[in-house]
Amino acid sequence: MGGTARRWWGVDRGFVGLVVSISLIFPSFAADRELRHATEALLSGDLVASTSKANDALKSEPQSRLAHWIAALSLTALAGKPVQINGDDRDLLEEARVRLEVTPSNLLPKNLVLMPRSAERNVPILLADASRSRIYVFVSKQGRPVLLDEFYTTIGLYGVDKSKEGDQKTPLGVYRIQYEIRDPRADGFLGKFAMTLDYPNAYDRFAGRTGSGIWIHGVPQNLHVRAPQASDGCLAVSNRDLNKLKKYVRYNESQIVVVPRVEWVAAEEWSASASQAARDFSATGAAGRFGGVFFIDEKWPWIASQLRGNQVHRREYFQKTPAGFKRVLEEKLS
Amino acid sequence: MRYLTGVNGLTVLTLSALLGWSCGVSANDSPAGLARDRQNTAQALKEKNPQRAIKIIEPWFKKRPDDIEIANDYAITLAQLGRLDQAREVLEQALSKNQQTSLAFQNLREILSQQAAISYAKAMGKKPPNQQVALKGGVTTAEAPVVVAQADSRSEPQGAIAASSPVTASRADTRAAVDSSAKAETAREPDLKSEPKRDLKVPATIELKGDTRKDATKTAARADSKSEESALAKATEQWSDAWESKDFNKYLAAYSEKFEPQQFPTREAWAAHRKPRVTKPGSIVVKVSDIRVKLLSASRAEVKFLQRYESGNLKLNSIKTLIWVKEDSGWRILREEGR
Repeated sequence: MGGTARRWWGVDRGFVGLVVSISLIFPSFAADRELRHATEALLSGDLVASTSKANDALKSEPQSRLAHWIAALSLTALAGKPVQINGDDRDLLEEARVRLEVTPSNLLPKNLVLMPRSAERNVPILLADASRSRIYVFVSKQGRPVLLDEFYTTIGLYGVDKSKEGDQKTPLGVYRIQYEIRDPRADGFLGKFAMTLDYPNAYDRFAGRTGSGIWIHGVPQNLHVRAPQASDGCLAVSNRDLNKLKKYVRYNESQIVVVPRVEWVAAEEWSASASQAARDFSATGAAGRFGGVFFIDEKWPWIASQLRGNQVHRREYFQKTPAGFKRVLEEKLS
Repeated sequence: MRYLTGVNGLTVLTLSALLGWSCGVSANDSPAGLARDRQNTAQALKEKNPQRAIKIIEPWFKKRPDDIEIANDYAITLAQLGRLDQAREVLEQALSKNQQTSLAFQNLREILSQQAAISYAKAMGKKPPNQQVALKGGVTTAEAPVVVAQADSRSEPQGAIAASSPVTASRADTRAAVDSSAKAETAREPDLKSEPKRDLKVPATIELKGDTRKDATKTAARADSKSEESALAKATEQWSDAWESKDFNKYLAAYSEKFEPQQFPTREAWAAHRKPRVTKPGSIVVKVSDIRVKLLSASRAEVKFLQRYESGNLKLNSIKTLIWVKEDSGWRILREEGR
């Protein structure tokens, strides 16, 4: 048993090393940062800067519609012509809005209540924030979440909180990333591959939610990204980002937490809440070899995942009561 | 505002060049007197005292309203006072008086707007327009613009970089020149650079040119110009009515034979392009409001107004400028700007 544990150690450390080197080799924030800077320059009326920053973004992402759009608006204004915005521009305005959001560098996400202890397992956890159209990649470092990477993502056309098949919403909750589908659509509309989520989970079924086939996938070859809200409920990232994201994923081991809005708190507050949760959950007997405790929002139960080996094999759903956490549902996973 | 920054730097450059030979001479109307006053204006602006600056530069501007350098100083002063509209008007007026500069400026705007159209098409996932940019050369007459460049969609995004380069280049040139001249001027530059941004926050007070530029001839001609102004406002309304009612002949008749279309080499080519658009089926609304008439000379006038255009589910509000020319048959359109 001890030998096996040590072997996991080795594997885990190797994986962390791999993950760190990936983020060093591919500075994935580059185009995102340039698009944000171009948007900021446009808003501040610095049209020469917004034109040149849009061009910087186009060097790494020649298909970025937002970059072309910012260049178009800037050049129109530089030409002394009136800038007109109409319905066709709505998607780009939305993308510009979410691009302006800066990820707080010194704050931690309260939604990742407890991280798996890195000595046991260090597969990154994905955290999707619907309000900012982002997927964050966190890894546990001495039990604390450390941000490795982030990706712009499209969510469902009608937002989040999926309840019915075909409602074009993205589900909220905790899901495993289970397996990969090559060429998910023959015409290439979803990119080269898709990574599947195990929606609906036990709580979704308990709440009567229907539908299936929620994936993380790419976009058509001629696009950089799609609008912030445009999919049928899936998470759609740029094809380049899909490849990068895949490097952080281990099928059946990786989890994605989809929340309406990440609550960013100072490190001390995060630690205080984590210690409290560790006490509360050890009282429930859940925090044995746990794969994390997650918080979606006030209306949702807290979710604790359990591991067997490296695989997520159980999810438990807890109601927070004045007397502590009460288990409301237990889900065995194969 | 960035343009102002560039121009601002240029002013410093010009001033430092003039500094060398301006000392000691005090004849008020002499070039040296002008150089000294411009230096004092720059100093006052540096000290954030636009009230003092305007007292120095305004008399010069009244004396020589078409001098581009004086107009530039005056505009910077007005901008620092928050009178952005007036500052813009002063610069536009001065630029339009110098035909070569004016053409170069129009051409720059034409190139920028063509690049904007290409970028916008790409943003919308559409095929970029393969339109010819009609640029006006200085030697040829204004009626026959020469096509000197063809927009090529493949030249993007390099083309867009080129768009920003005139401004960037002039700024870099300025900096280099300033560095090599007086050190005191170098120290002044960052200060001046920050000013236009600050002015952005100052609410612009709109003052019409008539208030600041009264002279005897203008007062005498006032009665005359009033009736011309109302004639022009009426002509503008008739033009929009003809468009709205899809009366293409009447619409076309509003344009002078010397009309200078912006995107087409000839009036005929433009008319051929406009005809199906003006006469296309379905009702449209074309309304004009806030008409502002400015007589440029006895036979030239600029009319600015807000145009509301509605067709199907398309609604466009834009600021339009028509340049009218007085012919035997009355006022007719010579140029049309803004979409």
